[in-house]
Amino acid sequence: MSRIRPIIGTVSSEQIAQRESELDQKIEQIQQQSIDESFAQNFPAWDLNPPAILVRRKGKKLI
Amino acid sequence: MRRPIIGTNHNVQVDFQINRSTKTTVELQPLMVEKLLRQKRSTSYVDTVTRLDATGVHCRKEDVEKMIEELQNEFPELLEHQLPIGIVSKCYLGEPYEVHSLDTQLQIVEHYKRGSVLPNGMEKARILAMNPNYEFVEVFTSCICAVARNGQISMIRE
Amino acid sequence: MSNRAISTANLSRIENSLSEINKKIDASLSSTQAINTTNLSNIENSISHINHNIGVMYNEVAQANIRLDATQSSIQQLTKEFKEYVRHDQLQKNIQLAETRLVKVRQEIEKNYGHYDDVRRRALGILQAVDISLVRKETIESASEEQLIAAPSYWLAPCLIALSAWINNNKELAEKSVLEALRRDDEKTSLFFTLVARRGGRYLSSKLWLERYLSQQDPNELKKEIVVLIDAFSNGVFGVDARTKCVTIIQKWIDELSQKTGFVEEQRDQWKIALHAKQQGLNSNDYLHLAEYSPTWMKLKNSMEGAQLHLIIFDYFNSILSKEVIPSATLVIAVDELLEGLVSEYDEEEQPLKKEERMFELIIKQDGDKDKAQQLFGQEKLFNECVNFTQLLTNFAMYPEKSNASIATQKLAIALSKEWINHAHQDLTAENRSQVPLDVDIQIDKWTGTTRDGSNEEELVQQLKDYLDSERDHALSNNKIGFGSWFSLIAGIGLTYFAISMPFLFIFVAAFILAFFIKKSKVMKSKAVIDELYSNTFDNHKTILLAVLSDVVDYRREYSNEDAKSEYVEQLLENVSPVHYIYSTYDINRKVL
Repeated sequence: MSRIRPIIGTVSSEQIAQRESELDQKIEQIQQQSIDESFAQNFPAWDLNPPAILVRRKGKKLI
Repeated sequence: MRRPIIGTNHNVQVDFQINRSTKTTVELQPLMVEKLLRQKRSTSYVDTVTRLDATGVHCRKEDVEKMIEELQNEFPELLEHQLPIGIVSKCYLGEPYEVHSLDTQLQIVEHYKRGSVLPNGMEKARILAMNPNYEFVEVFTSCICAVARNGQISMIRE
Repeated sequence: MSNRAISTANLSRIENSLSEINKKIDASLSSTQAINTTNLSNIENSISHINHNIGVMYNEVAQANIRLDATQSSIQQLTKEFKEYVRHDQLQKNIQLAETRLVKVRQEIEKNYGHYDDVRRRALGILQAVDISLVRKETIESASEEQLIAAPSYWLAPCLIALSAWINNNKELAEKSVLEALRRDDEKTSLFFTLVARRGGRYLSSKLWLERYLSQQDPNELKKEIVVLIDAFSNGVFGVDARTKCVTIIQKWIDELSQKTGFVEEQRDQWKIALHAKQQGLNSNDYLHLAEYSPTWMKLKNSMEGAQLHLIIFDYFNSILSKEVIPSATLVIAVDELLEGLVSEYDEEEQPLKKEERMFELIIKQDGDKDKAQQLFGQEKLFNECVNFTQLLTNFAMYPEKSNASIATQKLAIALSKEWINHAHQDLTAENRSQVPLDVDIQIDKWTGTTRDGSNEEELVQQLKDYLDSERDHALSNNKIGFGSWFSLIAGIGLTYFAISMPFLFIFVAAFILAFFIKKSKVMKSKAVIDELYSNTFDNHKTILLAVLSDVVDYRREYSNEDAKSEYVEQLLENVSPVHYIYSTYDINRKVL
């Protein structure tokens, strides 16, 4: 018979927030590290963004 | 020991006219019906049905009436023949009674002792009805839905 | 007298005739003999001659057969060689044809799409940051006109211009070109700039482009790149915001798919199967007594295994959900490779010709064997593979080992599927609960009894005792001094009376009476044996009964414990949300009891 009983306790919301921000930081770190510098340096400050045109699905399939 | 007032041979008379008009005339496909039955039950519905248990032996006409009305309100999209054929739950009358049922077709409440079989295919709901995790079990023609306290549904298909 | 004369004359004449005939017969006989002999020997000669000829012919025929065989195999050989020749010839023709056609196709490709390669080269050049200085020097305007005309429907051409314009700080041209590129192929352009912006560290921009790309996707037919993209954004490669945004879009896909009748039910059923498959067998040492003495055992066993499944399911999801997501740079590499792939792949327009080209190349490579070439062609990666989102989701969540997805993606898939998982699990639980036997039958030897929870020990022991008592009584009732023995006693007593006058009868008297007492003693002994037997049986059976009841008590308790764990799964999934799936929001404390 199993003698080990797992008990779920919940983590407090502060801890959640803390963990979230930790993970976010790591993500941002990687983001910075993975920029291709030799490529990036050639572009000016402004971003080339998509226009605000409505997006339609290719072929407009009916569900 | 009190003599059961509602026993095997007594039928609550079907004199009162229950308004059986449902709000829809379109029959839903079986899959749509299943989808519908999956949804959580409303608190008022669960409360009404569980209250029926609490009335114990004296089950009044009005309670049964209200019960059936509540059923119709809970499933407005279903036609008459798609509604539950019965509701089974644990009987708190004590030994020897185990479960009781609201048979919506005959509009009666019956109490069942250990060993006596529920009619109309409602027997399969017995064990679940006795399980403390569920408040009551709705019996349909093609499945049974066990309803928990919070309204959540567990479904067993035929 | 004349009659006699006539007759004599006649007679003599007849005689003469007869003797002549006789002579003639003799003569002919002898000549026949002569013929016979001659002819026979002639015939004999002829026959042996014929025989000889037949022999000769036979040999000749045999010879002819041998020659025929030889000829046949020569013919076969010849046929084979001929076929080979024809085939070889055909292959050669195939090759020649393929070569000619290949040249033509390549010419056509060059004519129609020659500039596409040019565009691709330039684009790659920029991406690899090799030709940027060249780009700077070039006069953008004239070059762009040229390119747009040369490749009028290729989406990459205006993208290239936009890129170049961007490098040259020409916002107007850049934006104009983007519009043109979107007009030509919105999807590919969006993906292109998603990846380019990311590579250049413009995360805000890449997020916008990614949103645009995803919004155009049809969940029934996703491009194969989606797997890398999902993996990427769920691990935060495109940034924290992008992840949230993309999850929202994906949820919309699920909502859309859920509108289809039967979709949700199908998911739920699939999950039921996947969850149920994790059920494990009961430990064979548990409940030995129940296993041996209860006809209800199989049902009990199944129910227990079903209840133990809750913990197994919990552990399964927990192991995925509680793992930490560690963002790594390897996914970034995969994403970058996407960009290279996107730029290098042939446009839809080019594909028919490109396919032909490839086919001819293969034919030549396979020395003209068209069938082989066809086979290889089919095996090579399809130009446009599509995947179904539901399948993807299923694979990620249910079979993560197979799908190679990262932990973050597995978590996402589970979070997105949680409603289906919950319903499936609840249904399984209800099914399990509805099949638990209320009553446990016990059978020890021929005695049967029933219990619900093992608490009716006294009652059952009494029943057992009563049963064995009645069996014993039955056995005892057969163990009686029979009619015969009583008769012999009576006879003995009766005989005594007669024996008085005939003393020799006393022997019989003694015999009868002895017989009676022997039988009586036997019966007494048997009774003792029977009594002891049933007493032992009762002790033995009672021990077994108590053991079984103890098992029942243990069983009910364990079942109740395991059944209660069904809540764990619910709680676990409750805490998972598609937005926050990436974070573990609970802890598991294991206490050893």
